[in-house]
Amino acid sequence: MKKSVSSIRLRRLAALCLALMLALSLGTAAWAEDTASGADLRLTAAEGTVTLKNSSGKTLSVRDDMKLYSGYVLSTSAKSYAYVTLDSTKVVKLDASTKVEVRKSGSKLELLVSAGKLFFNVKAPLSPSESLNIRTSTMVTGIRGTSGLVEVRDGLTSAVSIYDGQVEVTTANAATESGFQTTTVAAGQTGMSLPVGSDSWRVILEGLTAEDVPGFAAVELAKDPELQQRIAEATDLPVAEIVAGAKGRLERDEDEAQAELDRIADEAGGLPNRTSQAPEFAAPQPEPGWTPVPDPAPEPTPVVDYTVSTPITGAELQSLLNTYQTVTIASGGSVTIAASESVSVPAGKSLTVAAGATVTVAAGGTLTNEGTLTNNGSISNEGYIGNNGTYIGKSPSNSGAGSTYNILILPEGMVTSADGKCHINSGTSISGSDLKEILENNNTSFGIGIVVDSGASVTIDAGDGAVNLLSSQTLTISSGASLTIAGMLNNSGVIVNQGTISVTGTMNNYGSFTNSGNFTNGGTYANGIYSATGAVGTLTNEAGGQITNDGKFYNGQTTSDSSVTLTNDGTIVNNSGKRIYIYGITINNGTITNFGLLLISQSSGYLDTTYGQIANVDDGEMSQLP
Amino acid sequence: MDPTIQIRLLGVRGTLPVHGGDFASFGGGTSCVLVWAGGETIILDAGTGLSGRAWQAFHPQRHCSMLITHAHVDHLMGFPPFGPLFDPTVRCDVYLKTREGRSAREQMETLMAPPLWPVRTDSMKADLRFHDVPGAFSIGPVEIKTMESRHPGGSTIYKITYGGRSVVYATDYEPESDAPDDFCAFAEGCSLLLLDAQYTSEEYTCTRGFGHSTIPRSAAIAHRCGAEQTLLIHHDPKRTDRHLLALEEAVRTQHPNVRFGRQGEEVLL
Repeated sequence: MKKSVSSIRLRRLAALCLALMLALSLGTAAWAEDTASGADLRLTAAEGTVTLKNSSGKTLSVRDDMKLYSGYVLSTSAKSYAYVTLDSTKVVKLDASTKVEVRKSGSKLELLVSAGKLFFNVKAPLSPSESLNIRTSTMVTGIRGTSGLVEVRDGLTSAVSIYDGQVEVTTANAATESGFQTTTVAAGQTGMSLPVGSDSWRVILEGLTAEDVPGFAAVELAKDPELQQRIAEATDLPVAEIVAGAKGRLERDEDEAQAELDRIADEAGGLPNRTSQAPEFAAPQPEPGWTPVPDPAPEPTPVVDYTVSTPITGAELQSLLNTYQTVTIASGGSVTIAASESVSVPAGKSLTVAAGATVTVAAGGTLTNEGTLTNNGSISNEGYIGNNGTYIGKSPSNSGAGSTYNILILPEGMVTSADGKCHINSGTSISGSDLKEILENNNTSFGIGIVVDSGASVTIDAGDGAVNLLSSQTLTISSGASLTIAGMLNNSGVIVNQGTISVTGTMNNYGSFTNSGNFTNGGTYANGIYSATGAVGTLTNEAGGQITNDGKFYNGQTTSDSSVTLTNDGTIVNNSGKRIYIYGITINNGTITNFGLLLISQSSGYLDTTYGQIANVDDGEMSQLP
Repeated sequence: MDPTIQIRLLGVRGTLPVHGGDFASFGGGTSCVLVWAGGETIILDAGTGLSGRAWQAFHPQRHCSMLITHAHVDHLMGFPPFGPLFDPTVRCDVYLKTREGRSAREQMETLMAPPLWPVRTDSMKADLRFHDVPGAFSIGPVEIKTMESRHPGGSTIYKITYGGRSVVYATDYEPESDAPDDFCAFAEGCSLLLLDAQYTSEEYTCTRGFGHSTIPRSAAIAHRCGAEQTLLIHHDPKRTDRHLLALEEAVRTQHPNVRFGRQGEEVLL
């Protein structure tokens, strides 16, 4: 068996990081010296074990309120935290096991996070001459006046969570003329930068939940009522709940981190526990006064990657996964998990099946993922394959007669991305029956999120039968993508349309449907119903969204549906001879241009157009029957 | 003329009226549906749902037409006390098919005569005109077509068409299969189907031949007909709101356009 660190990959990564750093940072010369202008940057407080090195790599002793200069590197150990302030309105807190380099030039400040998490709270907007950037190896976050969290998840992935205000995140993107891409991350969102190919990153936006606020940030929130109010106003986060549970959350985070360190220590051969062994987090040597002492001798870098390029057994793969952080089955490599074998990718570890590599789970064999499993090659399942962690890439093929799976089986042209969603790739068209197969025939004990990428399309024909999107399922039509419904789609989940949806058959919405693209109904669209669980079904046409009715369009289908809701902040056009039936609540803050008939039930329909307008054109009319 | 057809369900309970908190959502009144189309007011059946003030809130006019499916009492008991029939300025055309040799008036007078009822039809002040039911006829601009139902003693199924839209009223109907050719042809593509669904499949093992359909069978027929919307009616009197909601949810997962009718509910076509 050949053992090798994937040096080519590391070199490429290093080159990319370097390119990104050079391209995205301010001029290097600007950071070379710390000018006297601007407020002082200070380490205002340190808890636990905090290490400080100057730009020459000399370790300095730490004391409260000490001034920091450009090039200084702060590192925190387990259960240790550091507070950095620029002035009374700009506070940054380093989480445990975090490493940050500060760069300052006049009133321009940059924080380079190479590991861990960093909480920031900028209470007042920066002046035009000021800047505050938080940089990781994959993205730069520009702060103007906001609070949130930056986290380095691994060498290729970073994330920024925004608690109030918004930030601009810049990532490298070779596909653009500038070589960069900017994404806005708003309050209540997490923007996660993910690698796309070998030289680009994209930012995926996700909703922020209380569970996403780590303990070290929650305790800062608990100390600051003014911040609590800002977050409560800006997001749907349960601020009171976060504050009440902050201390417990912090203890839990610390316990989990300690458990992980202990586990790593045990696997590394019984190294002493209770402290981090990573060199950058090692506790500083005691030293008198202010005298810097030489850096400790560097420890050998542990081998964390292993590449397999020959056939191996399941038992051999399990042994590698137990030893190494990342195992890659390279092109030409293969794994056969035999009937009696059970392989598990442990939590926190990664198994990558590269293009040209194969993994076969034989009948009676088991492959379970608790960590990260990336499949760019081929995984064939005749036994059992399950996912409790993160699955990325092509779907396994499930070919055995007795095979079972707890993982999405997707048609050709679909992959699962790190955002946990199934993407229909650009250039791919899938049918309604394919969509049904994904939604109905997979194990649906977990939610299914489908994203139709730009350039991809889905067509539901009459012969496909009704496609039902369940409450745990989401369907996103990206800008530049399309969904055509010539058959029937029943939505009890969430549909987000940023592209084009065209209905010539029937679309029933019993869930949430948000449109910011183009939605054309030439068949029947029915929004909402009153059911055993109350009224269900909401349609929101966002600003910029266009709805065109060239068929039958119902907001509620009888007077029993009086509490279903349609909110229009965009544009609705009702064509000549066509009807929009209003039995439910209709809030029009945008524009309704009516060439046909708006038929409002006097018994149940409610149309509020206080903040919008309705233009009846040609023979267009509104009718409300007694 | 507004081409809209307006339908309001006044009674969707079958067999006999019920009342109480367990029946508040779907209602306890027996068969009665108001239809307003082409300026004409049409009353489908005169069960106990016809009582109360619903009439005044609909389209109270000097003239109305009453299409009675058959003379079983749960379809007639709203007729004798119906207030407008005591108004001399009102004219009411009553359509009821001649059965067992008895004309429409004779069937009505069987009920409206002592000792069953103290007031006879000829004591009513309105201009009452009784008609047999032809296969097809018109009420103003509204077209009416009929077909014979499968029900003990017979019953009439009505199809009302106006402005390119149609409503089929098929209560007290026991279809012989999930796809009865004659009915599916009659109701094909209708805008609204009001269809009998009194029993569950389990109940039907004991109620076969009573002249009523089952919920799954009627849902299948609605799908087969291509009805744009379907409201199942003639709910069994022992069926509570909770039970009906659960049954409706189960049906809706298979047939999204099929729901259970509720007393007071209105549909615009």
